[in-house]
Amino acid sequence: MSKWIIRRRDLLRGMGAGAALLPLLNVRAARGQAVPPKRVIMCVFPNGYPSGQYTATGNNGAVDLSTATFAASLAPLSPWKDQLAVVAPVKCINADDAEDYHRAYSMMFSGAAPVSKPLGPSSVWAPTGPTIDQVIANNIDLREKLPRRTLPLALPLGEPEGVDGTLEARRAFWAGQGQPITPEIDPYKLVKDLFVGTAMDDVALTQARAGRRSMLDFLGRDLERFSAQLGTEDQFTVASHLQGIRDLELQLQQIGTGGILGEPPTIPTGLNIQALNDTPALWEAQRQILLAAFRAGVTRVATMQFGPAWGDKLNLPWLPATGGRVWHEIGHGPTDNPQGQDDHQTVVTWYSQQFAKLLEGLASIPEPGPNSVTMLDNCVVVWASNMLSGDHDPSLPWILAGKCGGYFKTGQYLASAANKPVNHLFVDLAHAMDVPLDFLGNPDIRGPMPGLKA
Amino acid sequence: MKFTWFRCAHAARFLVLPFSLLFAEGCTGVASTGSARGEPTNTDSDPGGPQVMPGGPQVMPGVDPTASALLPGPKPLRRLTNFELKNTLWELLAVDAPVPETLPRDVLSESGFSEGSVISRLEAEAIMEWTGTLAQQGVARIMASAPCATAPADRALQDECVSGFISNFGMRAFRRPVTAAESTEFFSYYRDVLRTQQSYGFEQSIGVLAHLMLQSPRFLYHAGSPIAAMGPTSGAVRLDAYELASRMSYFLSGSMPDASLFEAALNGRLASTEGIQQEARRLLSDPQSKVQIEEIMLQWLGIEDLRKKIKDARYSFTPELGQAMVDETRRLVDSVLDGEGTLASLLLSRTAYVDNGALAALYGHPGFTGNNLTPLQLKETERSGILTRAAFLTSKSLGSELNPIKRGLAVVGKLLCLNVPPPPAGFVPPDHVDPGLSTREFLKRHDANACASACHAMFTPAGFAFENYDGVGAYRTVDGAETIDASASVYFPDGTTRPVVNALELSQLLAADAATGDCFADHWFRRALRRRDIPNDEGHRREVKQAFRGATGNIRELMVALVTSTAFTHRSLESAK
Repeated sequence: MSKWIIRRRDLLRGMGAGAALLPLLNVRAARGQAVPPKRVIMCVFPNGYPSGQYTATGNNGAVDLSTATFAASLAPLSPWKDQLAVVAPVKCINADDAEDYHRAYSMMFSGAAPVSKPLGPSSVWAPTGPTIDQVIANNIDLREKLPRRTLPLALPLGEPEGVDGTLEARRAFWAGQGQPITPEIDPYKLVKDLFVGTAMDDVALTQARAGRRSMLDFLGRDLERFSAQLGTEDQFTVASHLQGIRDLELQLQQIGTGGILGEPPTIPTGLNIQALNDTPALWEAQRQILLAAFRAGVTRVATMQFGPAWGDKLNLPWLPATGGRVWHEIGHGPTDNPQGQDDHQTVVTWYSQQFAKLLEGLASIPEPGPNSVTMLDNCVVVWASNMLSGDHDPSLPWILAGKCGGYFKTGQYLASAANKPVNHLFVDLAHAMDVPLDFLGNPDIRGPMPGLKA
Repeated sequence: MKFTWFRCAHAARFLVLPFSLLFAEGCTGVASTGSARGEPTNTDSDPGGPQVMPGGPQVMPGVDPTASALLPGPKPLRRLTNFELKNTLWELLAVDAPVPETLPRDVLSESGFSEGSVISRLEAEAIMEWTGTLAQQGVARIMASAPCATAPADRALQDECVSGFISNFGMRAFRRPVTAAESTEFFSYYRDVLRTQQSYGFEQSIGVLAHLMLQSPRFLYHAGSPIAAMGPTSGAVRLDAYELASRMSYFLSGSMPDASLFEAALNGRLASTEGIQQEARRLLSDPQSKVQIEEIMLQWLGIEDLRKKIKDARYSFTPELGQAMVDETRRLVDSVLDGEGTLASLLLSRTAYVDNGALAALYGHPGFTGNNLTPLQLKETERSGILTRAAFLTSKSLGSELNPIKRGLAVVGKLLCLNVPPPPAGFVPPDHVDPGLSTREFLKRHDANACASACHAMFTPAGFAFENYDGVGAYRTVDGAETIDASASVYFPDGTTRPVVNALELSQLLAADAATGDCFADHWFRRALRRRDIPNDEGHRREVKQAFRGATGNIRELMVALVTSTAFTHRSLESAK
């Protein structure tokens, strides 16, 4: 079990009733402070780009994006060139053997070695360490108590059910070994959880919350006692459960202090999270929630999974051009049939449009202060896929958007990053977020990616 | 689509070195299995009393720790699956509540079967809400665990009643007696509730306690008994009576131990092989165990939840039809258990219980209006056993109609236990059969690729035997313009390659060959132990296979053999501190 869980626990213990007010103060401080807080959003979408589409003509090896033309799949990002750092395909060092194609999904943000599964039927891997979002969030959490450490979002992932699939193919973000982060999909639940009402004078409600708080406190201690009797491997199984209880405690503490965390976005009624046709509307709702949550200071770290590792068991009915085909098969398309390339481009263009919309949203929120600085300027949005193309190219395409308070040099294509380990990018992300970090996952790969910092 | 030469070489190695090597290794001078089966002599400590851990783990007697070949493996911590959770809550609260969508789905584990997935924030909250609702709905049953029906006026008597409740309800919820320390913790929580939630009545406070216990890891996980600060740290121990009872019950019935099994644990009857056998056979005669066996069968063959299967529009496949297919296979398992109860009959039965018109039509009985109580004899020339039923055939089909691949893979992996190296994760073969080519012809060309052939030679040929069935398992005699050729050659673990004319003959061949039973036993061994294989399992597995053969392939007797195996009744201390 990672040590920080214990540290968090001690912190909570030490806080007591008076300290319970701290988070609220921090939220307000965060909103009122002269230097706006930095934020990170990490997005992952499956199956990469159609072959040869992760390029901008005229820029290969060049640096200046302003003179480049994006391929069709990236075209929706053209208006945002000055905010982008397009990174030449990097390596996921633990999944870059020729046969590791799709294993990168669960491994791509941790840089850590895989859990060994020599005899299991699952050919998917899981990381032995936390992903970068968690590392950044935990560091922030030591300094400021925000209502949520992270906000993990996702579009429907075709959740595995027994033999139907493996969890690892649906979890890109991990708190540590054996601790996948389950993303949130339901916008109605998110609004209810994140943006609390004003009924704090309701005695019964207050009492119910007190009851829940003491229950969580008991369960946390109970899990600690339980875990103490387990072997190391089994402790991993319980660590995530314990962290879940602690996170719920933290969330409740925020509510308990009476903090109204901001204006909830208006979500259209009747969205069905089971209906794939509602996917665009679902993402739009999540996008609004994410922007509102950032504005309200709910968290500074968000993750977004646009699909499971290979898009298996998911088709894309909102894109009729794909003819109801399964996203996985479309991903394989480019080499296997001529229509494949077009279908793949249809899907990826849609993804690129969503990326652009996210940037649009962030850029529409002015930050406090004299200059015309927007939230995007203090953000970094990671846009990454688990493979370069849907047909088994194990390199990772990464696009960064936003300068994150001036850390990143944008408007460039970073050709020199080609084939370098992705681990360096984690160090950049941490540094951009003011988190000290020398390496993540592999002590042999240290330091930031040369050329990315402004 | 790419195969690498590494994979090919790997596959080829497996191909030329069939199981003979494995067995040769297993035949070296290991300690006699009889002595390993010998029962511990010191299990007579008092297993009763709410605050004393019964039995207690003992070092495995009569086994030289250096003769590691027969030491049992670890018993990794598992969470209750949703199926087990639902069943257990029914036993505890008499509330039949569907598992909410918000709860994490079960996942495929290393054993090849489903396990409860990891709990994080979202799931912890979902469990909290669900068990809270159930605790309210099940308040009558919860109060039945309290020694007093109503709150005694006297505070001391009230406390006594609550303590009694903690012992009684905890005993069932945790599937073992509550320890003194646990009892104290829960009682102090109750005191807190009384103090802070002054509007709560006596009944409500007990309800809160029950809610709390239903979220305890001792309820949610298949935990061993607390063994902290005692006993050896290496070697192996026999499970204490309650842990064994629980392990037996969840394997045989998919739920918590019933009153008789608890009593058997309490009275030490599980200390002997005969005692375990007696209880196992009793549990297996209960209808509940049939549902559990259905579940295991579906998972063994990898039959999916077909309500969510995406099929080509030409099939008019609906979620209802998918559900009917799975239901029909469940009833096939039931009918086999009601009859001979053997693996062979599972592979050969032509009796179907169908209550869905579309499925009856698919089986070539369009006018059939019966219900699931009326047996339907499927056509002798078209169907035979579970491998020729719609659920298996539809599960093992691809959107691309390249069905022989998954079907063949299931035969060699699930029935013959040939070790096909896994394909790259999430790998699927080409999207579509080229127009103008039959599936067979397309795959032949594909497999002409030297690399693909090394892998596919092991399983695609067996899959051709199913060519008479289309993507939803309907019988057909033509594929495109070509007449179906369902002849196939099947590679067996003994190194022979045997020709069959179709899936009916393949089923016959599998039903008659001992390799199939051995393979089946291997899979169920993993399911019983809920973990992946370790080298030490080999000796235990051989015993189980012998027993299964001796019982002429009777599935229930296989389960009895499994729960009496030392691999099941003991565990190594590796996974405990």
